Amino acid sequence: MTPSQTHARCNEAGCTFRTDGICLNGFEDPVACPHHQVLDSEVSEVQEENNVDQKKNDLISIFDLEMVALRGAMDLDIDNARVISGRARTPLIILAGEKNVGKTTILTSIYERLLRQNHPFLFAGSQTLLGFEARCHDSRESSGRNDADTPRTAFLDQPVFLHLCLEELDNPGEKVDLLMTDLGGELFVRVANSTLEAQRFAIAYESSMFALVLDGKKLAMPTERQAHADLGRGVLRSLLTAKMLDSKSDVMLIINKVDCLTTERATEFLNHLKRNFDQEFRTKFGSFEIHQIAARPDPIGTMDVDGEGMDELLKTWMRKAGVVQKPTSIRTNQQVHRRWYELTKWPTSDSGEGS
Amino acid sequence: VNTGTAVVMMGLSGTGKSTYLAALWHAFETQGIPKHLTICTQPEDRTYLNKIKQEWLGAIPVSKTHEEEHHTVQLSLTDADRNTSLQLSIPDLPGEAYRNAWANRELDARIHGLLTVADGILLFIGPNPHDPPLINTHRRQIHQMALEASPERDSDAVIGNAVPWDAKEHARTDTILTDLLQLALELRIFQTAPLKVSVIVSAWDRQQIVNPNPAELFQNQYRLLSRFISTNSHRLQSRVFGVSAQGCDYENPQERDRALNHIEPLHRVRVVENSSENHDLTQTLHWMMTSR
Repeated sequence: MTPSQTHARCNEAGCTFRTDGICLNGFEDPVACPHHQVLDSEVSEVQEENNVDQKKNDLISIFDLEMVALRGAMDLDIDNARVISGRARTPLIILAGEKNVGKTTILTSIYERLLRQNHPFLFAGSQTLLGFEARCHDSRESSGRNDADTPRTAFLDQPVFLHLCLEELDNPGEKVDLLMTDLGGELFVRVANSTLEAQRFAIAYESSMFALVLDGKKLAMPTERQAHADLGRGVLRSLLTAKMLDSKSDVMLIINKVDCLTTERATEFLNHLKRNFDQEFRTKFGSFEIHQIAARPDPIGTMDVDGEGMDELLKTWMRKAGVVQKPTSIRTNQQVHRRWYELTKWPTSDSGEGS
Repeated sequence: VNTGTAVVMMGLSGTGKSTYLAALWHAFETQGIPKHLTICTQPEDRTYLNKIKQEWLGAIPVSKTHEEEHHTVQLSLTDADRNTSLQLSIPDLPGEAYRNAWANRELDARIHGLLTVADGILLFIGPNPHDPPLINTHRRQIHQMALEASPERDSDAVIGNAVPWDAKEHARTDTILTDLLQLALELRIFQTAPLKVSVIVSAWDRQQIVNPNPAELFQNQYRLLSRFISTNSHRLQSRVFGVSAQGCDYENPQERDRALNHIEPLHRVRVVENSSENHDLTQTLHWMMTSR
C-alpha cells in the first residue's frame, strides 16, 4: 500500500483504489477523481482497521441521525449498473423497439413468473425490486383496472436498467447478474432516423444481446405491418452504419404478442418477415436468432397467461453469461470505461423528434 | 449497545413481533420453559417489557408498537450448554417502519446501526402474504357483462377507477421482505460470518391445512424470499419455525378461556419446526448465538 493510499480513500461504490491503487474512474492521478478523499493525517487508518469492534461501536454512536438513506431500488442508472457489471457474469440485454411493442412487459413477465411459477431459474437477488413492483402494478387486480397494462416508459436523458440475479435450476451455485434496459420507444425512432443518434447509442456496442422487439399485433394489421417491420430494420441498419453493432454482436429479433397472429394471412406475413430479416442480418452479426413470445397473452386465449416462450428467451439471455466479454473489465479497461461515460451524450429532447 | 451478539427483529405490521417478545420475556423471567438460554441480568428499565407481558398473561392482544415508539430490549443471557454469557439486543420497531424503509428508502438510524453488526435476524412473516393477483379473465368477463347490461355507463365506473401505484400499499409482502433482507446483507460490511435468519411464521395455531410444515409453507407462499435465502446460502443460514406466541384466537371466548386455564402460561406457546413441536421460544434464538 502506497503512502497516498494509506491516507486516502474513495467513497465510490465498487472502487478498489484502497486495495490496489486503481481508480475506478480511470484517473491516473487519483486526486483528480471527484470521489477521492484525503483522510485527516491525524487519523491512523491502520490503527482503525485493527480495531473492528471500536469501528462498530463508532458506527452505532454516530447514529444520532434519525433516519439513514438506503440505496434506491426503482432502477439503476449508469453508475450503479457499472458497479454490477464489474462482476464477472453480467450479460447486458438491450431491449429495443417502438413504443408499445411490449419491452417493459417482457421484463415484468419475467419477474412475475419468478413470483408465481415453478421456474427453471431461481431468484438470487435484485437491486431493482421496487422498479419491478411499480411496473407490474397495472397488470394486477390491485390497480383496479379492467385490463392488464404496463405503464409507458418515458424518454429519459440517460438509460435506466433493471437487474435480476438468477441461478439456473440445472446449474446450482452459478449465479448470473442480468442487466436489462428499460428505454422509451421514441429513442429507437431517433436511432433509426439518424446515424448521429445511433452513434450516441453507444450502449449497443456494450450489449451482450441486442434484442429488437416487434409487435405481433401490428404485424397482424395490414395497415401497420409494413411500416412497423421497416422501422425495426431501420434500427438495425442504422446501428450497423454507426458501428454500434457489428459482426461480433449478438442480435435477437423478438416477435412479441404472437397470440395476435391468428389468421392464415398474418402467419404467412410473419414467415415472410422472419425469412426477410434472416437473409438481411444473419451474415452481418455474430449471431442472429428469432424468438416468438407472448409476454402477456390475451387471458381469453389459449396461451399460458403467465407468458408464452419466456423461459426459452430468458435461457438464451442467461447463456450469454458464459461468453460475456467483461464490460466488466471497466475497472481496468479505460476504453470501455470511457464508452460507458459517452452515454452522457445520450440523445436529448432537443436532438430530434420529441417524445 | 454491546455488539457481542445482535439479533434484530424484522417484520411488517401484524406479524406478531411484540407478542413474541412478551412471551419471550415471560419465559426468561420465570425461567419456565426455556431449556437453552436463561437470563443472567435483568434489564434496568423493564416498563415496556412488563407492560406487554401483562397483556400477554391476561390473554388480551398485545399493544401494537406505535410509529413513534422504539424499544431496544437488551438482555444478558447465559447459554447453559456452552457456559457462556451473551448479550442480546432486540429492537422492537413498529412494522410500519419496515414498510417505510421499503417505500421511502430510509431506515431508522438505530436499526440501521444494529443491522450493520447483526449476527442474526428474527424475520416475522404471516402465513398468508399479501399477493395481489393478476387481472384475470373472470374480472374481465364480469366487466363485459356489466357493460352489456348498462352500456351507457362509464367503463371505469363499473369496477372503480384505476388506482395509481403506491409502493407502501400495493407491493407484495414477499418482495418487501426480500428487499429488506438484501439490504440487511449489504449493510453488514464488517461481518464475514453468514447472517443467521430465523424465519418465524406467526399465528401458527390458525393454520388450516393438515400437518402443516413451516418450511414447506414458507417455500410455497414466499417464493422470492425463500429462493433468495436458498441461493445465497454462503451468506445466509436459515431455519423456519411456525410460532404461535399468542396460543389462540383471543376473540374466540372458548379458546381464550382454554388458554387462560393453563397453569403454566407458556404452555399456550407453540413452536413448530419440521415435525417437532414444543413450547420453547428460545430455540428460535439459541442456534443463532455465537460466543466471541
